[in-house]
Amino acid sequence: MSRARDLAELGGSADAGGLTGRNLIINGAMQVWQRGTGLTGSGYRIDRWYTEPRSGTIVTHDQSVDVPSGLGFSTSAHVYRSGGNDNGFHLNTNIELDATGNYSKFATGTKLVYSVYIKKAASAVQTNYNPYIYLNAGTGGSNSSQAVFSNEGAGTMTNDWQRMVFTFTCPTWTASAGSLNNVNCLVIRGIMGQDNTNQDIYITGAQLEVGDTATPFEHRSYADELRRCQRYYETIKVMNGYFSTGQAFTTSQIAGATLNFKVTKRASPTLTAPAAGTAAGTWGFVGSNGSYATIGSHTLTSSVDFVRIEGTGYSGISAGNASMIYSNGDTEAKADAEL
Amino acid sequence: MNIISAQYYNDSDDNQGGIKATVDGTEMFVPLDPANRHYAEIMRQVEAGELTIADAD
Repeated sequence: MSRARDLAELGGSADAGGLTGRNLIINGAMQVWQRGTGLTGSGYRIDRWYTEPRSGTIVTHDQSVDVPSGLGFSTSAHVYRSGGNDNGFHLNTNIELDATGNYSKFATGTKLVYSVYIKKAASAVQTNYNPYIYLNAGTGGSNSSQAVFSNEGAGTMTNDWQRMVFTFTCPTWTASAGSLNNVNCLVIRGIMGQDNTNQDIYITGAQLEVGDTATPFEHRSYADELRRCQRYYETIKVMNGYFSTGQAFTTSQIAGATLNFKVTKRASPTLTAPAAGTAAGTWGFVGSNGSYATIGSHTLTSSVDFVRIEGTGYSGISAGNASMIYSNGDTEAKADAEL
Repeated sequence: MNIISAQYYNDSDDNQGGIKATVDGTEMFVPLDPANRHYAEIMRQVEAGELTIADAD
């Protein structure tokens, strides 16, 4: 078989959605919502997507089953102004670089094609969708490049689903702030908002590919997308009862209780956990007899693979004895290593 | 990112373990990792004179 025929057959497979690994965007089909649906506010709400409300607009994020028909989608994100000012928002995602400062995968001249299924609610006024790309140091980093708009310019949203396609040519990147040695991701910033212009969108099937031709959306399983998302954010769900064992370090300190992450994190994550206590929704260390020690306070320390929970200011424990943590009711901890 | 308080904490070996901070109304344990976005923002605000990190208890 000739190389030309090999390539032709590969191209046919891509057109049929058979080639995997084309889509650089994680959670492009809006399947994963570890933080929950119906959340308002700014920042990360949908996994791997973050919202920038414009000047006092309150934005709500719902997972929706309103999807383009016949294309294999089951979910979309419904993102809309739900209060405050009516100035719209931007909805963004980012692609992690392999190493900080190494943006060679987006080197000068590289062609990128971004495709997305999008529509507006019938009542919405805002129709403009004008994404641009840039390099950045995280979501709010102080190092970034200039913005690059699509060769096609803005798209116009209607009340019906449509696939918009935007091509980009990576420029000779220059720093607009700080140094490009510190950038760690490529951002796709979905520009939409305008002052006093109601914005209400449905979006799914977001895909960024290397090349200049959009191929069919690469569908991935929920399990696959969840694990990809968990590199950046993970909820650890703990059921009611004992869940981790440590050791009393002194008569007032407990060390060494650990929880392992399911997926190695991008960086050491920020941790949020139930407060120390004995009431519903709290975590408390218990002595080796299974009874609560007098509660102190907890600290959580993370690496990219696990979290260590330590207790201080306890009493009623014996140095050298085992100690367990008791979750009063079903609780959860959250590990955030987002860009 | 609205950070209203930040304090270092030590681990059981008395080494600096991280920063306990209230970010957007939620108490969080932030690692001392420059690649962590919360740590980066805390340090940016410290350098800008907008935030002070209290010493560990």
